[in-house]
Amino acid sequence: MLDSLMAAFGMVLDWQNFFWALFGVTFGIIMGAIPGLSDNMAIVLLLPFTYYLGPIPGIAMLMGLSKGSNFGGSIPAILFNIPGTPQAMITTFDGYPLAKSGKSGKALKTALFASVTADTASDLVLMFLAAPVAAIALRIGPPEYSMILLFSLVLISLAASSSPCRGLIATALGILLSTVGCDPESGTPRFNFGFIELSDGINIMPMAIGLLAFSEVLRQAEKWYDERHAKECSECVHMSERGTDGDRLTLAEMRSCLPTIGRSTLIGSFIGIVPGIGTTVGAYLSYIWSRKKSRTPEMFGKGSLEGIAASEAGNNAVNGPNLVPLLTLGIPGNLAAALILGGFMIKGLIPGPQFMESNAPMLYALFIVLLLSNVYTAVIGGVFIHFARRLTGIPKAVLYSIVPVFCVIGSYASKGSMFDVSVMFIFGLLGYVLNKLKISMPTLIVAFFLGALLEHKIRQSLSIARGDWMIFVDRPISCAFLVMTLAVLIFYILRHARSGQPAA
Amino acid sequence: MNKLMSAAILGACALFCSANVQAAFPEKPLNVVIAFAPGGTSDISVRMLAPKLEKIFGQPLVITNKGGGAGVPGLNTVLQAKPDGYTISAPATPAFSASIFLKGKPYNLDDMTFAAGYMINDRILLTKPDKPYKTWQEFIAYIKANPGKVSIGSGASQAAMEVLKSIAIKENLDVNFVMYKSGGEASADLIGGHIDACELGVGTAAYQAARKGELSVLANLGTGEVPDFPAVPKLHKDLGYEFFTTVIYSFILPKGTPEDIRARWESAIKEALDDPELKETFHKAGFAPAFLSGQQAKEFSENELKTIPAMLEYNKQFKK
Repeated sequence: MLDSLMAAFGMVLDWQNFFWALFGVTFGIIMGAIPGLSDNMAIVLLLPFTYYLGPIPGIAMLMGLSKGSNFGGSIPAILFNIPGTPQAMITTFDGYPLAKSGKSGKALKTALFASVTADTASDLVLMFLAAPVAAIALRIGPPEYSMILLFSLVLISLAASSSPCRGLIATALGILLSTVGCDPESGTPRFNFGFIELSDGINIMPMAIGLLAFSEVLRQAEKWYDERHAKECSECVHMSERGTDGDRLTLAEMRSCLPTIGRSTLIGSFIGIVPGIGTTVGAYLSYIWSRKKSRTPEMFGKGSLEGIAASEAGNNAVNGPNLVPLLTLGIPGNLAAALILGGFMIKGLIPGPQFMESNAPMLYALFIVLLLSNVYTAVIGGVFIHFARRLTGIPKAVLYSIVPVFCVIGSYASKGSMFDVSVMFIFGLLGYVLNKLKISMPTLIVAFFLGALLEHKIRQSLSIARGDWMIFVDRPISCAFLVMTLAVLIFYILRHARSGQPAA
Repeated sequence: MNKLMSAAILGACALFCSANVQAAFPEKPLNVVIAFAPGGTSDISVRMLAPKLEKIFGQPLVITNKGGGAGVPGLNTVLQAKPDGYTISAPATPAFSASIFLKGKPYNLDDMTFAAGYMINDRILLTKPDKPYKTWQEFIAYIKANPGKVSIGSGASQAAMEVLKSIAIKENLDVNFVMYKSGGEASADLIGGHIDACELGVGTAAYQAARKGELSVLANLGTGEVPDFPAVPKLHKDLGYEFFTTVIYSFILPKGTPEDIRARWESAIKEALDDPELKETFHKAGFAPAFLSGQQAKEFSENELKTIPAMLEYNKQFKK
């Protein structure tokens, strides 16, 4: 172990690793910060580059990319209410109100602090708990998976939005949209209306870009139009007042966020164990739990630091455990991991059980590089915050004409398909309408994503059990989540009935 | 007379042009469209080949992934491209069967130009070594002794799933089939013991586990040689079942690509595959490199296109 560790340090101490990790983090933050361009796209773009680098610098760059863009996505989420990456959408709940009240610096610093802390904690989970985490992951079969999904879905639809009824509508819409594509079992196309492009279902990237970014542009255009008609206003509209002393993040505030970060790391890490559920769900569940636990739950949604911390910690903590199945079994837990797997394989390194034994120094070197990327994210992120705040001085007209360009580029680039650009525009319009109806788009997107998985997993379970629904009750882990789901449902129904008004 | 003259001039022009092309090809970067998302077997195998091809051609390869739709949209964009040899699709072949399963218009293989095949992608049936059955025959006997108890997964291959169904019909098996979205997802459930056996492609995580002895191989659903398991019986050749699935990963050019340019691609792919270093990289990943000339790859795919509808017809007898 010590020998391997020493060898690992030897491998890491090379300017190339430091340089490429730095490059990865910087590029990642930029890509993450541009709405429409995502972390996965950044990895896809730079993956071919890594083939020309050695294994460790190549992996260092990819890791840096995914960490950097994870933080980068929260910058426009806070400043402009447009998440740079889908996982940052929960950060808009509190980040944007805070920025509007002139405290964008404070919000950004909270996001960075929570991101880096939770990311480091989840990397430690990966390093020291990989074996037990892998063992738990293997116990999660289709029935367990289904019930975990059902629990998340029910909790998010009831607890996340202002009224449970609207939450359920958003969820239902999301699940309805998720049925477009192919029947997961027979592979027969369904609801694709003759478009072969829809045979994999609606592509989530253009859908999320349309709902979150493009619809916001429409909303801002409408607002601007209204304002102009109301009174003459200056050409350059600042989005927020700057220069207030609320920009500093005090030590006391950092400390007050720590319990939230701890809780969110726990939730995020658990979500990370279950492959494929993803960062957004981690952020959402953390947010809900933190609001429940907070001493000032009424501040959530109005600019609570805890809210930002919960969302950012929750989505970053997913990343460490997500790499566990990749390193222990060679099975990628998410798209980024699948791309990294490709990077490994081209280098002739095959992740999996053998990798742990035969390439121990390489593995430790990888861990060191992960931690190095976190340090970089903290430093580079800090620099970016300094400059990003000035973006709020950009005239609205300029800013909101740049965003649609990136929306189009991002939708096209995710699969190289013009069809997806139309999908983005359609969802942009839909998002505008849904916003008027106060239907939560993050809930809809999460439901779209989880709905498809849930159908798939329930049908797998029923295939195994020959259509016997008792399989969900017979298996202990799945039964526990089923009971929890029912408890949440009963709790909300009772609360709703007692208060006589929409539950918060 | 005039017509004859112009025809002659045209002919001479064409000759001159093609000779010119032959001397110069390729004189600019080549576009390779991978019809699948990055990170999968398709993507990795092409990207492993790419550096060798770049060296042979002396021109960079611009690789783009155009995934989704089971490879159909990716292949279609290439088929609509200018047939000058600068735009090529790989590995395009999985789109053929996909178009049938997606109930789209089946491909006419005369509407494209086959450059060459470079890899045989076979599917194998895997199980855990602690199960009571060690061979195909024992597995069949076990299913018969435990009707309705055994679950077989598929690592996201419709064709392989249909092959297994045809066997269930023939052997009169009462067995549960579970479809997965990816090989990785299926591998995890197989290793975790949630399903009893699973069919997967070579080069997947479960395949690597089988190499290490943590999983065992019951049968090969295809016709190629699986490098690490030469003794594994092939369903069609060794066990006498009618249907099988083998996909020859191939490079495909648009229809009307000049023959000399096609041949240049063919020889470049052959030369790349002869490289011992490349063979080693392929082998490590668990891939089975195999050179097939354009003609051979086409014949193979034609055969595949014929058997799938026949298999689907036969499988209508399958009762869930």
